[in-house]
Parts: sequence; structure tokens; C-alpha cells
Amino acid sequence: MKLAFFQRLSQLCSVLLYNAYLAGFVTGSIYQGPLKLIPCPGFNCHSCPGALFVCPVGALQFFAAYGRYYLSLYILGFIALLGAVGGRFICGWACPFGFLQDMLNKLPVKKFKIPRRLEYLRYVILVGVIFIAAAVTREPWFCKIICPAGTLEAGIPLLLLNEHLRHMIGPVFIVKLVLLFGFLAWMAVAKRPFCRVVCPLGALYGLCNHLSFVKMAFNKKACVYDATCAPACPVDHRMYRDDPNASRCIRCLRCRSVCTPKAIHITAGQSSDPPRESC
Amino acid sequence: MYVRKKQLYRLFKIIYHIPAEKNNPLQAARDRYCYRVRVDNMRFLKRHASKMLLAAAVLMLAGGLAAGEHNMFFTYAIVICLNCIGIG
Repeated sequence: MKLAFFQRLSQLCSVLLYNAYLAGFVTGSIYQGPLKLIPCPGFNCHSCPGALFVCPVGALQFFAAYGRYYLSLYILGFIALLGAVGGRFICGWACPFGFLQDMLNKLPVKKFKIPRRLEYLRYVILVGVIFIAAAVTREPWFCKIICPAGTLEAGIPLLLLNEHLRHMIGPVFIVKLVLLFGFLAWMAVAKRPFCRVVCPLGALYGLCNHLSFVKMAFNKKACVYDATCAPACPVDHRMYRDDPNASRCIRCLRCRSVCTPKAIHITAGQSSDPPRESC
Repeated sequence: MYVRKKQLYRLFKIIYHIPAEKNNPLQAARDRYCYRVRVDNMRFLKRHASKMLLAAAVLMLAGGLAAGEHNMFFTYAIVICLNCIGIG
């Protein structure tokens, strides 16, 4: 329970830290200082009036669409650096959009499961939309059409605060608004749907889960298979059945905090493989 | 142990073209050895994967900074992104 409290606190702190430019919410402008040179570790739109850091997904799209060589080494290096330390732990501990999804999922409505196959869609979006479509058409399609964070954090507040922007509203904004409300409704009825199905940043971090210094380890002998960890997991990952370091796991450690036989561990700097068999 | 492995490897290189037969002890030994080498290689990669990823990340960051990428997206990040808010 203590760990769950710290996780929530960390998520809340990340929301406040990434959006700490409070003057922007009054003036309707955005932060233009030197902190915008640093990518944000979590999914947070840099056009939000309070945003201090640049959105890594937006920057990746910018380079794919308008850059000289389509890939941003700086952004990919930053993501790989965080991924090399803890894999997808940012998604569980320091992502504002993940926090929003966790909160919305607490609403007392009927819950549905997300099919596992649908989770591969995030790789299609990462490669197809973020890199290929942006490079071919020279348009940031993810930001333009899909991204609900842009509509929620930047679109709605900026349009409320700036009258001249309100006159520019067109059909694309209506589409984005419908998509946003669709995502919000989905978040209420399913566990972290955006992280699992759409998020390209989570897909990149997830690729590092197997390669990071900090890994999850599961002790099959200690587990009593009573599935107490299953309802606690925000992404429907089953430690006792699936790979402990699968790209789906966001390393929030909720499973570890509810596991009474302590079958789930964190290992640092070593392999979590089973012992080698002699041949 | 290393010398023995090397000798075995030479031996298997010679017999590599022997067609596979059922209950052929040499074939089985070769397969076991090849499997062990593959597992060893995989284990080496797995053991050092995080270090390699970290080194690659630092190199990419340095490369990006050297190419002035941070200045390129700074100019993009300090203006309101009309695409992001849905009116671009």
C-alpha cells in the first residue's frame, strides 16, 4: 500500500513538474525558456500553456516531417537513456497521461478487457504514423489527428484563453475533440487503453524492458498462483503467466506490493533468466 | 576448457558436411556443441545488453547535440503548435 501511495505521489509530482509554468494558464501563452531544449520523459504536449519541456513524440514527428535525416538522434538517445535505466518505468511513475488514465479507470462503470492482439497497434502507429507517414507526406499526422493529449492539454485551454485562435476552429478540431472524448470514455471502461494500444512513446520504452539495468523477476516456486496481482495491474499483465519483462509491463510495482509470498522481485544489473540447464 | 572447445570446434568444422543420420553420436555431439555456443553467445549479449544500450544512448545524445538538433526543435517547441491543438 505504501508503494502504491508513492507511485501516485510520483505521478502527481510529474504532472505538476512538467506543467509548472502557471503564468501560461493566465496569459494564454506558452513557455519559451531554455527548459524547452529538454525532452519531457512522459507524454505531455509542449503546447500546453504550462508545459516546461518539449514533447518527445512531437519532436520525433517534427524531425521525421521536416528534418534533414528523418531521425532525431537526440530524442531517441534520450528515450534510450531512460529506457536503459528502467525500461518502461516512466509510464508507471512519471507520465501525466498515464495518471489521467488511472484516475478515470477508478470511475464506477462496467469494465472491459482489451484484446492482446490490439496492443501491437502501438508499433504500427510508431513506425507507420510517426516515422513513415510523417516522412512521406511531410505532415505530423499523429499530432494533427490522433493525439488526445494535444487536444486536452493544449487545444482546449489555449482556445479558451485566446479569442483569435477560436476563430480558426475547423473540422479537424472537431475530429480531434470527438477522438479525445472517445479516448476518455475508453479510459473509464478499460485499463490504460492509450498506453497499451496507441502510445508510441510507451512502445519505444517497452522495447527497452528486456535490455534495461532494472528488471522484473518472478520466482515460480514462491508463487501460490492465487492471482492477487491480477486486479492490481493497470495494464492487465499477468506476472505468473507472462514474461515478467514483457513490453506491456509499465513497472509500476503494484503487483509486487500486493504479492504476499513475495514472488515478484526487482533485479538490478543481472539477468532474470532461469538457471542454465546442463547439456 | 577453452583449448578443448577450440579442438572440438575444429573437429566439428571438419565433420560439418557429414549428412545427418539417426543416432549418429558425432552429429548429436556437434548439435549439442553448436547449441551451447549459441546459448553462450546469447548469454553474453543478454548480460551486456543494458551496457550496450546505455552506450548507444549516450552516443546518440552526443551525436544529436553535436548536430545541433536541440536548437532545431527548440524553434519548433517555443511557438504554439497549431497541429497539436487541432487548428493547423
